[in-house]
Amino acid sequence: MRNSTFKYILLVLLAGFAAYGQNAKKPSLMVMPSDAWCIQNGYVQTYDNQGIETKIPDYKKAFQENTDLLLVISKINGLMAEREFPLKNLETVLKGLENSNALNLVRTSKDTGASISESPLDQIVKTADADIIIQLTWAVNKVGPNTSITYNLQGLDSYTYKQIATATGTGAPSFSVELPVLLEEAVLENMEDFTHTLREHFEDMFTNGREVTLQVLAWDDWDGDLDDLSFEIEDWLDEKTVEGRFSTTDVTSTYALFEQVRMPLFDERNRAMAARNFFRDLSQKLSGSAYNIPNKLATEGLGKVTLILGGK
Amino acid sequence: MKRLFLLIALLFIVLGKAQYNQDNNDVLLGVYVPEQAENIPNNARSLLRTRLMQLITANGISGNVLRPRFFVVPRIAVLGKEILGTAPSRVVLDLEMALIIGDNETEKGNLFHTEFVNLKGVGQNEQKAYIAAIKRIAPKNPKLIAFLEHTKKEIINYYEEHCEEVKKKAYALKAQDQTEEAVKIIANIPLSSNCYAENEDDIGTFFQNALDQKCRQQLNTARSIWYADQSLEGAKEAGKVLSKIEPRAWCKDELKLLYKEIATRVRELGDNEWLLTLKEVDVAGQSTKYAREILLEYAKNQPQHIIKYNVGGWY
Repeated sequence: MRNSTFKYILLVLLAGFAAYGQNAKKPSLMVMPSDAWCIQNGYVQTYDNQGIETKIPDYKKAFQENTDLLLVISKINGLMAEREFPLKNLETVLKGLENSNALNLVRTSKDTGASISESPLDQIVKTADADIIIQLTWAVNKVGPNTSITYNLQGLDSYTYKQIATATGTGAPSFSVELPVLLEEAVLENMEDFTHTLREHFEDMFTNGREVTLQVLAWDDWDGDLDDLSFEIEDWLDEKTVEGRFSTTDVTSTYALFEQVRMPLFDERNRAMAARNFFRDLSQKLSGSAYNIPNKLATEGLGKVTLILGGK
Repeated sequence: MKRLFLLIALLFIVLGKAQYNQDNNDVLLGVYVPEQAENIPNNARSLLRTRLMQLITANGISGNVLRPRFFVVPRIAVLGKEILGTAPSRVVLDLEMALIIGDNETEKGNLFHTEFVNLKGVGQNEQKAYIAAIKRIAPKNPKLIAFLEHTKKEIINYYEEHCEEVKKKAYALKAQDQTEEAVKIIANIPLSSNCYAENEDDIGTFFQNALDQKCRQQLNTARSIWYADQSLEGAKEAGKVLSKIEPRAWCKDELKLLYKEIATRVRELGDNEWLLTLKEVDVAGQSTKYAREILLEYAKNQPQHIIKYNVGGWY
């Protein structure tokens, strides 16, 4: 009897965890070629940034001109999907953004003839992004008739900038010259470790909360002092985060950065939360009668929030 | 089959007495976008000029008509620039636009009022980022409205204080037969200034003389075309010139004479009437303001050359 009760409780708990896992806001993943690969292969745009030459990757050109890139990303996407990690496809996202921009250009209000309003911030946000970027670099090595591939896969958290998973290595030399085959041979060896680390990251998130970043800024016409206010914000974080886990990285009178903030995945009503939902309470508290500091809450994806003090 | 031709010459352009307030002809202010060290892309430069014209006309000031003495010139400084390796890439620009009011009549080009506006733009490349930033120049920006109101007052004050000097200069140019330059100086006197109110009769005579001179020139051109080629084609060409002449009292009779002469010849050549609508203008009702309107309208219809202002001393 005691044994069957224990089994029943265990079953209920497992079912509960499974339900949580299914409903929580899942981070999105996307494979992107690294800057190094783009520069080595000439897919770059060069700008003069006030006297400093700056090179940035030209992803569209890379996808249009390099079939190896398409094959490699397609292979990695396939391998990840087999391990229950479906990925966003960068090329498709880029095309989607172009279409959506074109649609916004031609949208006009029937009543007033107004166009779609777009702030500079909107332009920055409307880029291909994911919560976790899988950065890919590879090089083909040739020794006599043998070909091998050296690759580096890095799973990077877009908000905490942490590397959460990695797989790197060189495949065994082979007579095959087909890149996807070489890549599959090389990657398969470490793929399990890579996906296992990713899975551990997700499990850690479910257990200890999502790791997010809070940045606090001030409009230049705000006359308050963030130095003092940061203690109040720390009190709020201590109360609301999972086991009070966060770290205060920087505080000045106009800037504060709180990293490794572990926010719960669900609110009191068991609704899944992203960082913007979590920090809304802090925003409201600061603008309320106790502090009377109007502020603006800006979000970046699931895991980064910027609170700007002094106005909307 | 008789050749059918229709020659329509509109002899007189009927201009209603425009309300100068609505037409923004009160204060004239030019817009000049010079070459810059920061190398604003060409498309963005053109947009910047258009936006500034839109800004000043929306705030009750006339744009580049008769090459106004006072002009606004933007100077753009790049405060910050970031290039993001996102997909797609983004160029972020933080610009500071200084709007400077200049006076073109002084030797080095005087500068007397400046306002700063912050502009931010993001785009896939530098040109798009500049265009995005310049698009944010809003005619309803309170800071810019206040700046233009202040500028209007400054310009009116200038004419209050230098009225005699301005008139003397205009009459001196007129005496040297530089009527067009003289008219530009007189037309720049704002209607709402005391300088205009106190000298309205003189200014009216000035405009009248200028229009008469213009009428004489155009009538001579039409005559020379007609006497060189008294065919249907010649009549058509002469009619084009006649249609542009603004009727004034003195040349009205001569216009009619030339018209009758051409019409008779056209009837002989093609057995057709030279269709013409002759509309009389109430000359007695024409005011100085109306004469000014006509001159401004005339100037607007002239080929627009790229106007360059003297900013060498301070830009």
